[in-house]
Amino acid sequence: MGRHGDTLYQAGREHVILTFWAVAIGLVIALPVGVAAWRWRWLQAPALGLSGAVYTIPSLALFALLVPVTGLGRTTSEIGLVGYTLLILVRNVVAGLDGVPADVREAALGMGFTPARTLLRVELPLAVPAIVAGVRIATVTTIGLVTVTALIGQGGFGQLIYDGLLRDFRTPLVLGTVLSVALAAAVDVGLVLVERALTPWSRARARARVI
Amino acid sequence: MRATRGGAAGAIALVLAMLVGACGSGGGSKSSNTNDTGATSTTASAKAKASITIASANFSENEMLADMYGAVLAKAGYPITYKLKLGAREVIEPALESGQVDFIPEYAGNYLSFLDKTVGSLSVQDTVAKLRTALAPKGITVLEPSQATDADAIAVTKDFATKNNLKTLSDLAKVTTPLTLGGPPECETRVTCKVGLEQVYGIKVKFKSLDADGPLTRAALDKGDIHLARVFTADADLKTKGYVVLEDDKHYQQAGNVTPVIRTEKLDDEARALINKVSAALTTDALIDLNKSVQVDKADPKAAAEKFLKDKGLL
Amino acid sequence: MFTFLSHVVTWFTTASRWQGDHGIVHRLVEHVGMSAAATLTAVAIALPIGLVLGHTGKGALLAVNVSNVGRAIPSFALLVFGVQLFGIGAKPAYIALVALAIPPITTNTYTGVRQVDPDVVEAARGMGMRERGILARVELPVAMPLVMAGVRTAGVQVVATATLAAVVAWGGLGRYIVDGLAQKDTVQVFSGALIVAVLSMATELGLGMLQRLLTPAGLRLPRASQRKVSVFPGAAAAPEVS
Repeated sequence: MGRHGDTLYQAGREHVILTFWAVAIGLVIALPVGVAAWRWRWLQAPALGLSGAVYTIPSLALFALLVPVTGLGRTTSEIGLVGYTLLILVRNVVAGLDGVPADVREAALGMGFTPARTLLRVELPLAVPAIVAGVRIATVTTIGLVTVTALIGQGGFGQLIYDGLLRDFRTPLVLGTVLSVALAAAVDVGLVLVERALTPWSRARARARVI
Repeated sequence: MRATRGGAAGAIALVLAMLVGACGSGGGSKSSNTNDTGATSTTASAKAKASITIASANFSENEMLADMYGAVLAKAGYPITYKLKLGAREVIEPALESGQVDFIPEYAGNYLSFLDKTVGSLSVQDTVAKLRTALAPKGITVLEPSQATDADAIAVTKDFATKNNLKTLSDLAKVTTPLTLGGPPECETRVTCKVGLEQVYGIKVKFKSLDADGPLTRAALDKGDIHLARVFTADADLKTKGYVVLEDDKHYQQAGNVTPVIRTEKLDDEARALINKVSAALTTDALIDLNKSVQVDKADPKAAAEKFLKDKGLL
Repeated sequence: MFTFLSHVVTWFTTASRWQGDHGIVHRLVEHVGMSAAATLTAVAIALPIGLVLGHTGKGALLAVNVSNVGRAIPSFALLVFGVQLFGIGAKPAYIALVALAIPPITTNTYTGVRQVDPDVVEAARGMGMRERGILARVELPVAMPLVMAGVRTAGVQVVATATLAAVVAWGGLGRYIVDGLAQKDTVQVFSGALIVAVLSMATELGLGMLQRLLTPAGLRLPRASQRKVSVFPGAAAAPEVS
């Protein structure tokens, strides 16, 4: 019996680790950048422009350019993957904060909250739906992009897809694709649950939302 | 407020748990395992064994060989990490030199001509000797070459060979129509491939970038998109696909003996003996059989390798 | 660093680099041609579907989620499927790229039509317009900003993914990247990436201009409210990358 179970486990593990760190680091960067871009309008164009510029570089090219610099390990993949999460996350942090009604902010300030406290206790929590929406999109996108890193030695389930290509073999191709999509679906559902946990007040409004 | 805090705390706990799980057990590709060098110890059992990262190129035979050597070393207690299908030698070899990977099941002649484009075609003994001289200062040890060989070769369809009366590569000079060669991207710049064809045989060809002797190259040859295909001599399906391998009468191809290389600090006597035993057991016919299992019958490379080892009593 | 950039300049300024089958012009034309063909085909398929679903209100679950599902399918896999089903050449790339471009256009068209003020639609019905007329002359123009946002998303994604098609033996600008990676020719990779990046930006800008042209003057929404609609997965004006 070959390494099938073990391969799938290793591939899945690699896929999850690569995705998790990419989105986590992306969020750690995007939150302060987004807050700054929202607070100081003039920062918005450069912040979105820079993260958008990364988007114009095709992923394989970005990974290929990083390989001579950072080698054939996970670091190379992570740097590229983090880059691709930034535009969505920064955009959604800004949009989320933009969406906080002005009177809510006024009320908080009126109650004696400092701007910092207002941000942490009122504005960011209210921006959570938009931020989580961004995290959802970024995560699903990243899960797809991870498969491309098979061409530089990682890949997660993309390794199976690559095997399917190299040996003209439908089985690992289908398996790798299905598992990748299933992972994306599962994580997406998980993130919806996280959002619900973080925003109990939105359940009442949920039915009114146009989606 | 309390509900939010609880929910937020729960989410943070979940994230932390994933973080711990992600960092935990078994490193990533950059092995965070602490290594003993286990270098030149004669009592290998007394010292902890070096963890070895085995790399393979992006074609299935090499992946199978990586699995084969890895299986034997793993059974003897060496922690093995695999980095398979990394790419062409141009990409993997620097990783070996920098220590990102430790072991590659290489091919003597092609490796030497990668290091020295002017070296030409030598006997396997001379090739290995030169390799050792070139690699020792880089901290890489070249182990014993196997008698199993797999070298680059140029194939054409049977029809093309009959129509143009082709038996050797020199015969290609007779062909008047412009020729297109198909192969992996690195073929375009290698002396063992397109460049060698031009330099040694004087045959100028157009190049179409496909894959490393995989389904894309075969599809292109069958379709007529290319006239010449870069294949490997140990391929299992050359006859069944009706391909004719043109003889390398001017000897621009290298000694294609399977020759494992390993970073010197990861090599101890026990590992050396195990690796050399596997190399000794491999023959070209066995290699072709294994390729048939993996490429044609789509067996799992690791399963095919382990079956071979068990049959030879090495596992 | 400067040596590297000077190599890149040399790369671009070598005359032979621009000519022939492996030349920049040939590959650029190939790439643009394929991207345009795939995007237009996707519009031809997805636009009517999105319009009909949006107009009738049926298939909401499908229309909204096809983008999420589509985003989850790795383009790498689509290309390999394409080559295994259709052989090498342009066909697998074309079909994979069309498949890639359909979801964002469908979802955005659907959402765009759904958001048309129902009173406006009722008024048009009251005026005696037939359903098809309402679709074409009321709903589509009003939905145009979102529809075009979807086309822009799809177009830029197609340009990016077309580079990946070089892995399955197609040509285009991705050839520089795939070949450069294997040959350890970083100048080639960088230069190829640069051309694609510029092409991407040009596509984004070009389709943006087209969007402005196609949106009736009375409906050109200020940028801020456009952005508000787009952050949630259902509206799928989210940028894509491959």
